[in-house]
Amino acid sequence: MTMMLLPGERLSGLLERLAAEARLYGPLAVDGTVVFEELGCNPPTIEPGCPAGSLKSLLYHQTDPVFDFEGGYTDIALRAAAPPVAQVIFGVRPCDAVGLDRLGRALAAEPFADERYRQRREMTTVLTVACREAGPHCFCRAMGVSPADPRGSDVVLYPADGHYLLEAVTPRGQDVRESAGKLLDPAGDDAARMACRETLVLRAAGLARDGLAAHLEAAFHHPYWDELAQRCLGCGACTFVCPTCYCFAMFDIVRGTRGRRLRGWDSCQFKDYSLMAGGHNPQPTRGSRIRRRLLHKLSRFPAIHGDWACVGCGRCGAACPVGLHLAGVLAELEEVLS
Amino acid sequence: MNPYLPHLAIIEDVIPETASHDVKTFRVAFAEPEVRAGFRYEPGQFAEVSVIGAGEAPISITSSPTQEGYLEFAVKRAGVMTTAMHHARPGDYLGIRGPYGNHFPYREMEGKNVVFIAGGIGLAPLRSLVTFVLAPANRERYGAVSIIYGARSPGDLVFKWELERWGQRDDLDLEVTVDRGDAAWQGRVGFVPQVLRELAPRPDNTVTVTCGPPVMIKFVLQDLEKLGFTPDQVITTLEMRMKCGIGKCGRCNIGARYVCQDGPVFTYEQLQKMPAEY
Repeated sequence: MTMMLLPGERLSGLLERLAAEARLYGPLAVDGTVVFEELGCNPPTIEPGCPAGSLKSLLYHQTDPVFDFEGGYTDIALRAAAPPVAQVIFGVRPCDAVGLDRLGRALAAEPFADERYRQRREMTTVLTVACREAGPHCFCRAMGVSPADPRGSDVVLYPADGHYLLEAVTPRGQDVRESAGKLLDPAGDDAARMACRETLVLRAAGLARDGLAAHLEAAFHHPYWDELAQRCLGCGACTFVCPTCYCFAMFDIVRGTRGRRLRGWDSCQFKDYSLMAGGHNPQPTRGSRIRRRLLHKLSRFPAIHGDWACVGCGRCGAACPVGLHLAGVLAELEEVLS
Repeated sequence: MNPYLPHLAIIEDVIPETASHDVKTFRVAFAEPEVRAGFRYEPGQFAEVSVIGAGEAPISITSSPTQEGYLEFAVKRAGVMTTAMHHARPGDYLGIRGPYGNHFPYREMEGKNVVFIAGGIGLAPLRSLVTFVLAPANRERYGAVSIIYGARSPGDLVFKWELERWGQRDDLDLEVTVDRGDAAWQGRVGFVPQVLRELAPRPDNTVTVTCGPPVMIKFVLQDLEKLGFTPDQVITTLEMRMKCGIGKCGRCNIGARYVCQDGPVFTYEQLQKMPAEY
């Protein structure tokens, strides 16, 4: 794939062209916290590490209409929700883009593909900015994700002094490159990409993963889970900021004779998540719920979908009110299980 | 296709099952003729049933594919959605999507004796298979059929009208028991596992299919083992909280298996290999 060079001062020109064709989103600092927002005329905020909110909120909305209904018990009409519109997201980090691949494996899996996620994924163009520097919570390399990872991206921009090296990864990415036209210059070398491939991710160091799933399953009855539960507050923040957590609930909102069924994010860390109407709860303790989440990410999801349900973005640790970090848990597990 | 969009179905009949009416059977038919004609299911599968405006819940289909033109769901009033469903009357609409999940291995069971063991509302998912096996076109494919069914009290027995019909057949051995009788009760008194031990079915060429409250299942499994049944001869169907029914919402997995897709029907042999989280 031919590399092109985008001089830094022409980035706003590229974003303008993209915004003319679809809704443009990117990382923006809102009261000091970087989240994905509609960019408008604002320049994106690109800081080391990833934004506080994950990319999934733009493709897998926090609450999303499933269908509308109107009528009563004896006369009711259902109407499927309107299809999503095209969007371009600039300034995605490689971990988040890989996260889309993981979300898609679960949500778009046949035979019952989640049509809404699939449509939105098809309507989304992802422009990733690779990482020259890791953030304080990053541990992507431990989960097999590289700071220069192109998976899930349509275009990857590798930052260098005063310019970006631009690589179109998919046919949709090539369309972006073509529409950029004369904003791009030919690239002399791919030093910026090579540099991103070498970016140091300190937190990933020494987190061995060989046989991790089997280790974890063997430790099913280990007291470590209850030890974690003493620290954990059960707030579920880790699940909401996680780019690969996808649990949801569905519920009906009624206004008079009209209403809407909505799908909304849920969290496996809540007691009523698995509580059945009859009173039985297969995950009755906080320890059992933490175990369930980690086993899902590191053993069950890989068994079903072929890769980790963790991309090492570190948001769980950044968002946790008591500082429980998945990288820290992985390090402790090495110690506890050995 | 939006996989969460239900088909509308009209309630044709509501049958109160228990004395307190906390279990009702709903007979429903799809509103659109092509959906009605195209809906194919197997004994043991479930559907996501909606009371539009109140919510949705996974409910086993208690009717059998040998009964054409309608579906039946036996529902215990337990939470928000099932309470709303209990308020519904004939002529009202429900939403239904499915069928989902695997099914009882009725082909592999051919040529074998079948012992059904159920407690309380646990008879609902088994009834689909019982009706299927007893259907004229299928009955000769199976050996002796027996049913052990129990509930806490005579008033808690479900499908009494069905039990009467089954009791009149001479190709079926039906044993109904209650934990506590009452003045009018002439039948057996005792827990399901006690009746099982007393009847002591022989394991040769026999499969058992069981569903009921966890405590009943626990003792039934122990007693079946004592009677010489191996774990692969014991089939059960699980209940688990679900939202989507199609392997997306993340909540019903046991280990790497989703109850909504790989289940709800499992052999005891399969369950023994799964982590203890159900």
